Amino acid sequence: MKLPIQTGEIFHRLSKGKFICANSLDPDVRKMYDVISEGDHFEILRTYFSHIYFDLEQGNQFYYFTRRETKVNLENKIKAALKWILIVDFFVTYDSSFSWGYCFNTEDILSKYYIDSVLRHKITVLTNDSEGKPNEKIESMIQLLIDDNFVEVQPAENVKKYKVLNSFEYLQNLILNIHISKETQDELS
Amino acid sequence: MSKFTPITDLKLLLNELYKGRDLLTDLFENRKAARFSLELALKSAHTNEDTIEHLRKLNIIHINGNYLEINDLYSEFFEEALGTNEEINVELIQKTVSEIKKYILYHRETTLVAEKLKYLNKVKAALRKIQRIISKSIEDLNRNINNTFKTEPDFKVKKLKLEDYAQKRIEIIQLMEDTETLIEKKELIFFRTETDIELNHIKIDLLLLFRQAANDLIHINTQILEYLNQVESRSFFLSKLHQLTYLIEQHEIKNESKSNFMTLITQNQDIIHQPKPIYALKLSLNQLQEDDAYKLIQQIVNNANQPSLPKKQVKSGGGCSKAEQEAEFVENEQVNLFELHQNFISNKSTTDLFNFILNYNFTRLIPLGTRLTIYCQMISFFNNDYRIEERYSEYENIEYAIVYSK
Repeated sequence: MKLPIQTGEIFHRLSKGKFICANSLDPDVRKMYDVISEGDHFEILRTYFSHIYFDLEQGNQFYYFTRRETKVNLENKIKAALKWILIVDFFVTYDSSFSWGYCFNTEDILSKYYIDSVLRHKITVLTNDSEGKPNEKIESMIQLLIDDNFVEVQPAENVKKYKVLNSFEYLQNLILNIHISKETQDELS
Repeated sequence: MSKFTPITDLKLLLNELYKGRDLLTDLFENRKAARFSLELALKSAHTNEDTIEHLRKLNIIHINGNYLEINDLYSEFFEEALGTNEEINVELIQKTVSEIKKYILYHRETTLVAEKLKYLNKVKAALRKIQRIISKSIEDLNRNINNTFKTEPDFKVKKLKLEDYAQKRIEIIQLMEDTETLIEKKELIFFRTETDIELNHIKIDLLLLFRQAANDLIHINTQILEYLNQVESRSFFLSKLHQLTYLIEQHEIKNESKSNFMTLITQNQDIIHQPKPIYALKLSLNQLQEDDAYKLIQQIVNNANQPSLPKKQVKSGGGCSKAEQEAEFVENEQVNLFELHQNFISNKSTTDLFNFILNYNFTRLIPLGTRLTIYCQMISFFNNDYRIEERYSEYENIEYAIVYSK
């Protein structure tokens, strides 16, 4: 079993909870994606990492780690998951086609923010702040997406532009995997 | 409608259209914009109120409140003539197919050669028309599907439009089949017996186009299905998201009878939900032998040697009183009284104890108060070795006894 020379880099990135996306703006990350996708590398790396209790998982054009695991504070996990659902909801309310490959900037969201009271309500709930500057609140939301590697900053001349990565599908799948009982669905529709 | 002046002469109509060409061009170019106002029309250098009124009288344009509209009759004609019509007109093909049937029938029934030729020409024109409509319809269908999918903001409308295009596609296929049956079965005799070369060419071109169009329409079908699937899955996702946020807002998300959120999250083992690991690893002894490691060690040692400020001083930020500072010195500075005593008695000079301590060079700066304390302690500890005089002296309002070594 010959491991690719980038194995260390791949481990280093994935073990921090980051993703390796095919549409990343970082050429090093794209290179890592290509290396994993090449030939039987995925299987080799999957077996290799499994020996150290990390499972290499494959999404649609992205890779990530899972771990059979230890002490995780369930309360924190629940809080984090709920927060992500609301964050996705916020961006999808801004534009229903918000998904991987989507490009946007703060001003786009800001202009919608001023005319859409639902969007204003959602961001107030999420940031727990009814007085802060709108653009700062929006940027703090975008920063959450950047920190967890769902969005990258696109180098642009004047305006700061962002691009949604393939890893965003992870969040969508997280939401789609939640099953809502038939009765509740009927109640809500 | 008496207020309109109908035009019955083509030359006159063309003249009128020519006169109003600037306004008509503006109106035609803005036909997709929501409204074209009267003010906007009058901004054009070649348009004045008379032109507008004249065209309105001729029923070429409408005035709707403060807005101008081009008459549908002309707008459709311009779109058709310029090939900018994006509407897929299936009815037109249907109509043309029935026209062909009609002309062939007339052609068969008439005995006059000139009439036969006239109907033959009509059939040829109708066939050319079908050819033109089919190729344009396919082109439009392709573009409209892509545009709808990419630009239509409302998911419900997007889905409806795509379904409508899927229906249009079926209708186009049906009409192509009808035309083909007409040429190759129903009116086979006409198309076989008619010796006109041009008709034959048109027929072959049309059938070739149908083959090509059939392929294109298969591709269009795949595209529509893919887009519909995407719209379907997206709207499913949106509705699920909507329901979940509602449950979160109602604090019902953790209720197992409502959703399996809790089970799912408990089982989720993805690294992103786990705390970042800290590996408390030991240093590699081999690496420590290397030059780089040596530099690093030196740096750490240097950092460690930097005296850090006592916490209390940092806290008080310079606002600490002199008395506090002195008390601290007593605490911190352990003065070796015995050593001081030895130095004093070995020093056979005439200096008295008070001045000796006052001027004594301690290892660090000792304030006056502390020196006084040391003076008192020395006398009480070593009074047997000292000669305390009856005289007193004064230093900065402090009265002290003069003490010498025996």
